[in-house]
Amino acid sequence: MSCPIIEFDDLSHSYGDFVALSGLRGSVPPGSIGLVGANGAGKSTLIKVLLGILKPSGGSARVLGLSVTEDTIPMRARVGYMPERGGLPPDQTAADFMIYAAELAGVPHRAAKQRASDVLTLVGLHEERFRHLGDFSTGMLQRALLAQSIVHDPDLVFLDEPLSGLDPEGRDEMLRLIGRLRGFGINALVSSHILTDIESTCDWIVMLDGGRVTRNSSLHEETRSRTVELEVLGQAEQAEATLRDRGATVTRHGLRMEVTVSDADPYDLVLGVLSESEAGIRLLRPSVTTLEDVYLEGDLGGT
Amino acid sequence: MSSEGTVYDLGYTPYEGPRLGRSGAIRAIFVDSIRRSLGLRRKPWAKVLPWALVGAAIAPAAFFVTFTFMVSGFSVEDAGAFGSPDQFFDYIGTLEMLFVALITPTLLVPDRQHGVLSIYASRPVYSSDYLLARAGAVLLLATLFMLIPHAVLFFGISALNVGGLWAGLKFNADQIPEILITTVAYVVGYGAPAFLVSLYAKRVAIGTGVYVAVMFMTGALADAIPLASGLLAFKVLAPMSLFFHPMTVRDWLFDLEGSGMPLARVDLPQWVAAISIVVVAVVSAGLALKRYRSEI
Repeated sequence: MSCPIIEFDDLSHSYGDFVALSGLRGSVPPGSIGLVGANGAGKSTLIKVLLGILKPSGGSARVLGLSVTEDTIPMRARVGYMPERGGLPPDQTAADFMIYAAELAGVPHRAAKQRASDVLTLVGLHEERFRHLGDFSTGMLQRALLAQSIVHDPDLVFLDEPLSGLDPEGRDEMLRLIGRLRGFGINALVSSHILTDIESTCDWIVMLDGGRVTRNSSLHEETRSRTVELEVLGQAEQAEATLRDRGATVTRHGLRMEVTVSDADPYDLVLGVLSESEAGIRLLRPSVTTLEDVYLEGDLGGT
Repeated sequence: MSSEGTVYDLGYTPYEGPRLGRSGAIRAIFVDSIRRSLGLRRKPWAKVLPWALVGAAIAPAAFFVTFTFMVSGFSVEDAGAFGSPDQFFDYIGTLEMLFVALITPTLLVPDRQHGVLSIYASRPVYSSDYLLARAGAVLLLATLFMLIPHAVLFFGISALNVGGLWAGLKFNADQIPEILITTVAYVVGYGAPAFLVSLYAKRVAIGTGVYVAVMFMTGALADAIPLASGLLAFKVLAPMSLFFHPMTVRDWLFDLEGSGMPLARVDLPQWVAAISIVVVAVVSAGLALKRYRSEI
């Protein structure tokens, strides 16, 4: 793994007696990271701890190599945040607020004006820049929130439920914008409970459940299928028996089978077995594993 | 040359210039506070009340000086409340209270109401920096709100001196320290309670209304204290008369008897008003830090 952008070491946080985060360990590489979990899983609390707003009850965390408790100010100068709700003053124009948001991060006024103009163009709000934020639609507000989070060119941006309240068209547009962040050199931690959104934008997932990390790994790794769908032309029973003999788990419905292999490439095994038999191949394709499958597997007792 | 245009995606340009860090952020909040208080770069209606109050504060002083200058036989002494700095405080003090009632909730409440504090939480500032910048703007504006009309009055009266402006300035110079310290008493005495109320108000109008009500109620309660009362309850009540404390400090500084003031009614010394102002300011600052600790 390249130099991690986020590291936890036995990180915990409690609200009184309620434990919101418990013993989080691990690290997260650069890129687009999906923070996944049901409502109340601890996603927003984790983001607040990583921003230095909430103090950990135990353990420690580092963002971009900086301690969230001891180096809060230098760390905050290098991150952005898109909150789930609110965050925009209705009495200011989009342009004025973007300039202010950049200046708050230490960008000098003249450069802040240029940056504000650039990011508003980037999120498609250039024409609306002199409108008051109170007159914006939900979709425009979400784009404005994204714009303020990157106006100072952070190294890492925390996006807390960035698609909430958006219609399908707005979701597509926002997902496209989030997907472009990596190309700008901005890492993103995208919190969501909608797994398809994470699947389409992220390459790493951190899965939270009840304040604990249940998965912290590459999304490709998690969804890489070790199961293939196979349909043969004749000799199905013989093929099934041979596959079982070679250690595969097989579920057969007539001529169609699902073949799962735990410690080898399922294609090599299937092709090897069928070349030795008289069965022909009608169909051979990967069985699709979605993030939802992975999540449900974890929810039902996975690691 | 082709007549067809081509649209290019300008893409994203990383920022590689200087970053001013925490000091830049505090300066930005301070400037934003000044703009927001006066309705600058906001919709027109946001400018109406603050500028109306500024006009109401300056206009009488300017009018008095102009009138005295133009009308022969009208002297400084004929001007009543506007004729001397200590009496001018009676007029402008109430306007000052309304001004801080207007601007202080405007600076603190909307950021909580609209969730903007979360944006500050992702910038290189502590909650204390945010509060310091907001409070600093209130103090500066409230100070200028009192001092500018006083300056108009002071220079105007000095210019009307028979010996000319310079002689007038020298003649009135001994009033400057009293004017400055009394101004501080008014700014802190009225500003700190406004800050305290704004920490908990859920709407700007509620914050303004509650503050004005509290100030006038404490004034009314103190007015209800009988003269020369020796009762302990009244001795406790009198130092809570927030509305009158700046006036009592003014009387103390200008060597006025101030017999009608709540502290005088219960035979407490005038400096107790100054102590009360400091206590309210310290309590407000402590509660503000506690209130915002988990927000930014």
